[in-house]
Formats: sequence, C-alpha cells, structure tokens
Amino acid sequence: MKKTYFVLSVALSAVVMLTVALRPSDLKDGFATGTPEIKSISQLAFGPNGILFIGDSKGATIYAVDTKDAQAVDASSAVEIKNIDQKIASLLGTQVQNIKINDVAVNPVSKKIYVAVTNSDGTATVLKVDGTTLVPVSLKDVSFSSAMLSTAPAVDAKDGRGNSRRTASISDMRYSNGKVLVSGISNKEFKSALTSMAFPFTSAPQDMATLEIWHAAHGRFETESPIQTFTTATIAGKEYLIASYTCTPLVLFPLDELKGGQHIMGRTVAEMGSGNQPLDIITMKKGGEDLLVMANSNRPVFKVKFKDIEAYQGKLTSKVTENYATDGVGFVSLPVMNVIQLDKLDDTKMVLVQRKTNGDLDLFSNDRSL
Amino acid sequence: MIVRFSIENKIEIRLCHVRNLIFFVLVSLVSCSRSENSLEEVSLQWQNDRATGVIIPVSRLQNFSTDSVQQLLEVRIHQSDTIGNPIFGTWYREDDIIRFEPLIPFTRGLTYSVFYKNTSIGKIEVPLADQARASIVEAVYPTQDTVPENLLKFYIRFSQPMREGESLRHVHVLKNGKDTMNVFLSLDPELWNTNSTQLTLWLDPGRIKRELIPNKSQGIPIEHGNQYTLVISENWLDKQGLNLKEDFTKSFFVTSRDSLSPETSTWTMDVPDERSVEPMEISFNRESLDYGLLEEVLQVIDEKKTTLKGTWIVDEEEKKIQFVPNAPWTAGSYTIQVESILEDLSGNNLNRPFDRDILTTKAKVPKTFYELAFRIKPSIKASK
Repeated sequence: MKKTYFVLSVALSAVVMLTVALRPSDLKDGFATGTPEIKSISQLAFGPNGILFIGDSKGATIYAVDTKDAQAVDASSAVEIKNIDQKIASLLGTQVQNIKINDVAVNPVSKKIYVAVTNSDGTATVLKVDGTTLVPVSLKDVSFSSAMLSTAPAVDAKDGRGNSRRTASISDMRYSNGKVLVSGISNKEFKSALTSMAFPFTSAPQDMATLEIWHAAHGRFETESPIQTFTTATIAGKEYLIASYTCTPLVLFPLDELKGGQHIMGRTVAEMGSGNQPLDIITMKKGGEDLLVMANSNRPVFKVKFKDIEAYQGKLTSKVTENYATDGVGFVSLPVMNVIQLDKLDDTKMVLVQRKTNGDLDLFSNDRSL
Repeated sequence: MIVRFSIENKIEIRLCHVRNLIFFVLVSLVSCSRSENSLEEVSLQWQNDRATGVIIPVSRLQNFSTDSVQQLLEVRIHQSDTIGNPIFGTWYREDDIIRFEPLIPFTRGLTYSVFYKNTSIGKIEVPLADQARASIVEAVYPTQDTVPENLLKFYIRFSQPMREGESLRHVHVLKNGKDTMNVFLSLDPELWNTNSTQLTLWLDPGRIKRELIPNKSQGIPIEHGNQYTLVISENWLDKQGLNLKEDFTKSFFVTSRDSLSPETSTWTMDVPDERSVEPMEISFNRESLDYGLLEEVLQVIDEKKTTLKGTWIVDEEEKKIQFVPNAPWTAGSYTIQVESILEDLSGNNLNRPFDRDILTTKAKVPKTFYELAFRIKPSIKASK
C-alpha cells in the first residue's frame, strides 16, 4: 500500500513539476523592462508565448523579447505584400537600395510575420506584417532578457588598431524544447560551432559543440565547416539537428549528442549541388507526410521527404557509393525560384520572400507548391 | 530647444573663457536671440554624423495641443510628384519644441517635409557627406603576391565603415582580364568586424574541399600556375553613402596546394636583451599565416604565469610577428602560448589540416595551445 502511495505521490509530483515547468510566467524568468542595446539583427526566431529571439551578431548576444503577441489563432490567414522592399523603404523614409531584409520569422502562436530590416548605416529594426501593411515592433521599454554567446572574446578585447575582436556571426538560430540553438561563423577561423543555451537564460555555462562532417564522396575526407542554416526534427522517433553547410552537404546530428565540449561526427545525407548556398530550412507536412523544405541562393526551393532521410540510416563511417551525388537522399525541386527568405506559417503553409522575374520583391504565403 | 541650447552655449562659453565676462554676457544674449530666430525653422538633429531627428518649433503649429502630436504631425519624404507616406518614428515634446526621431536615421541626399494638419510647414534637406572623407582600401591580406591554390580567405581593410551585404557586387577576381565568377562564398550575414572596417571573404570552401561535388564540377576557385587580379570597385559605398575614393587592385600568382598544418617546432625566435624594449620576433619558417588570427592567438607568459602586456605587430607578409612589451624585458624564462586555432593561408590549423585524407594522414592529438620557450639572459652589467 505504502508503495502505491509512493508511486502515486511521485507521479503527482512529476505532474506538478511538469505543470510548473511549462507555466508561461516561468519562461520570463530573468526578464526586465528596458531598452536592449541591440547592435545588429542577423536572425529572428520565435519561442513559446510570443517570445521573439533576436540574434545580434555584432553584439554576440541573443535577446529574448516579450512581444506580448501571444493571442493564439486557430488558422493562419493568407498573406501577400507586393514590393515589400519598396514599402519598407518608404515607411522608413529611405530608398529601396538602402535597406536589406535580414530575416523573416512567424510567431507560431499568433501566426504574425516579423521582418528584420537593416539600413545601410547599420541601424537594425523589426517590423510586423499587419494585414497588407507593416507596423514597427517597438524595442524600447520592452520586457526582455539576454545572453552573450560564451565563445565571444571579452567585450574589451581589441586588436592592434583598437577594433573589437568580437566578430562571430550568427548564421542561424532556432528555439527547440527549452533551448536556443545558435550556429556561428567566425570571421577568422574556419570552424564549426553550435551553441545550445537553456531558456530562460541562466548564468550556467552554455553547451558548445564542434560538429565534424564526413565528406560524402568516397568516405575519405573528414572536415569541419560552418553551418549556414539548420532546423530540428524528429526522424524515426529521435530528435535530430538537420544542418546545411557552407560547402553544401545536408548533415544529420542526433540532438542528444550535442553537449558541451563534445566533438561530434555528423552523417551526410545529401549534397545539394554546386555554386549554391542553402538559405533557410523548415519542416512542413503534406498528406500526412513530413517534409523538409530548403530555400537556396542559386537553386529552386528543394523538398525532401523525411521517410527518404529515415531510409538513410547507414553507419556513420561506412563508405558511401561512388555515385552518391545522384544516389543520395532524393529531393524534388519545387517550381519556386529566387526565394531569399522562407518560414513556416503553419504545417501546410509557407511564407516566402521571393524576387520575381520582373525584379519585384514580394512577400506571400503559399500552400500550393508542396 | 534643450538640444540646441546645450550645443550653442558650449561654443559660446569657450569664447568667453578667452575674452571677458562682459563680452560673454553680450555674446550670450546674441546667441539666445539667434536661437530664438532659428527656432522658427524646422531643423535637423545630428548624432555621430547621422541625421537622427527633426526639431519643430511649437510656434510653427497653430492651435497646437500636445495630445494631438501623433495625429496631426507627420514627416514624409519630399517628392515633387506624389505625397509619400508618413515615416515611422517617435515624437517627443520638450518645452517649446517637438522632436521627431525616425526609426532609422534620415538618408543623406534626400529631402523631407514636415506636415501639420496635412499642410507642409517646412522642408529639410539632408546634405550629402563630404567626398573628401571617402573611404580607401588600406590593406588586403594575405599581402604576399604568391598564394597556394587552396587559399581560403582574403581580409580587406577599409579606412571607414562600409555598407555591408553587398561585397560580392564589388569584389571580383579576374583571370586574363575576365571575371572568374563564383570564386567567393556568398554569406549572409557577411563577415565584418564590429566597426564594419574589415571584411573577411572566403573562397568557396565547397570548391576547395577535395572530392565534394562543387570541387568536382566547378574545380578549385584559383588554379596553380595562373596569375589573377583581385579588383575592388570604387562603386562600393561606405556607411555615409560615399563611393570609395578609387578602385583597388592586387595581382597575385597561384602556387600548389598546401595540405599541411603549420609546425611550431620549425619556428625561430629572435630574443631581445634584458632591460630593452626591443621586440621579440617569431619567424614562421618562411610561411605566411592567417593575418586575422595572428592578431589574437599569441601571448607571452613569464615565470610567474603572468601574461605580459604589449603590442603584437604582424610583419614581413605575415611570415613573422613581433611582440613589443610595454615594460622593459627582465632576465628569466618565458613561454609563448599559441592557440591551436591559428591557421595558415589554406585553413590548415595547428591541430588539423583543412580537410584530412584519412587514408594518408594520421590525425594529431588535438591540443588547445602549443608552446614555445625562450630565455632572456642577464646582461653582463647586471650580472656583475
């Protein structure tokens, strides 16, 4: 009987702890109201409850900002803003050649689209799509917390000419299961680094892993390379980081192996062609099938079926076939070219920023191409 | 008014210090009068050479109420043919002025109109920056004119902060006068230092890494035995909106692939005398190393495990580095600690080559630091 009570009490404690752990207010532990000193905005990503993560490459810092945009909606609405770059330039009081769209992120709760924009003088700002127009997202007197990337040299570290050495660039950022994952590219050393930060941010050491990849052809060369973009997904019941590199391969890493100081070998599942850079990776669904969708600098948008990736569960070090380039995980080129930003509006709709053949830059949602 | 007064009074107070008190009072009165006059006009607010706001005297606004600032006042780009939309920004009321700070600074070369109740009450023109202050390319690294065919990166250093995100439109590598195309990796964001004065450009690593599809299909970006020219176009704008003063070119010859890690055991040192502030020199066995990393991966540690303060100077086409101490050398043993992340021109670092052929190259046991020791002998005078 005692044993039964014990089991019940443990179960009850676990439920209480889980409930407490998931309480929205706890997500804002460490938040304070103020104006974050954001030096640049390279990446945007959303966590739960309308918390927007801002990746600041120049400041080597991740900011978590409470947007208060936490009203859940049942379904996303179709979105279309033609000539979004011209609209943004006009609303900011400048010309289109002076602004750059750095990233687009969808708040998964409200389905609102956020756009990071940088002016030619380096001033960065965030706008939110509101129907057919855009509104500024205030970053003054907001509730926020921040965490500095621990790999960055000290703030006062200077080179011989007095320039700051803190120059790691944030190539991508995602929130996944209580952690903010950040891939970084150093402007000096050629290395692979992925940092995992517990959220809410704590002063505990961050987990930083170096990720080594195995060259696809011949299983002969091992190498490091910086990650250009990544996402996380469950494949055959296991959580994976799916990363695309500056040297083009698509590589899988089991998330449970990404621990501080670890050096992990990934498994290359595909090479996506030459002269091309992957820009964004998202996960989508169609007809009950899970899909990986990639936007590319010099290729159409690619679609890869997760079941095909699952079928590629060979041993890490096994030599892949000579003609791997064509035998690797199959991918389909969607009839969508020149997509410079891509995010998931919901499971079946994507939001894209696309340079049209007439030169226009449009933002729109799409549920037909998959 | 707060902003304008503080600036003008500072100027006048300086004048008064070199003249006399009576003159100061007179000048201040004149200054106040000028301020009152100038406050009749809409004017710009400047911070660090950027037009960060517009100041509107309340006297220009008839029947004005503070509550209606955002409803009745607007700033738009001045266009002769159409009426632009209101610009995003924040309004502030301070005494007898209204201040508008746009979300991003006003753009040089553009004109803006301030509207009150849909009627223009003033125009402001943001002047172009002074062309005499245009940026130049100060240096390109590697500085030597011969590089291995698996060269991984160029560093380009400018005299002023440059516009980011457009480097590949302005930097090209020519072979026989023709663009080689796709030599550099397109990265977003680009790799700049925090001041936007130094850019790192990678030659496409997918084409450099042996046996990858880009390497097999397109070949290596620059090939052994050929002459190339790096061209940086004057069309590149700096953050002030000014073109570079002139085009920059650098010619270089390409030699064979370098697939070996630098070996610290082959480096030599030139040790200074006790009590001098002469530099301690390290030569890298005639090999050029990565300029960007050389600036920050070395330190000199004394017998008490204290890191010496001083300056590192990269020299002789990055084949040598000098350490000039802040304080004179004292006799004793020293250690030079070198972080293993130090790379040569081909991305081979002290621990591992850029891409290791597992069939022919044995992996090293990785270390965080490599160390070199040297000793400064007591001078004869001191030992007596």
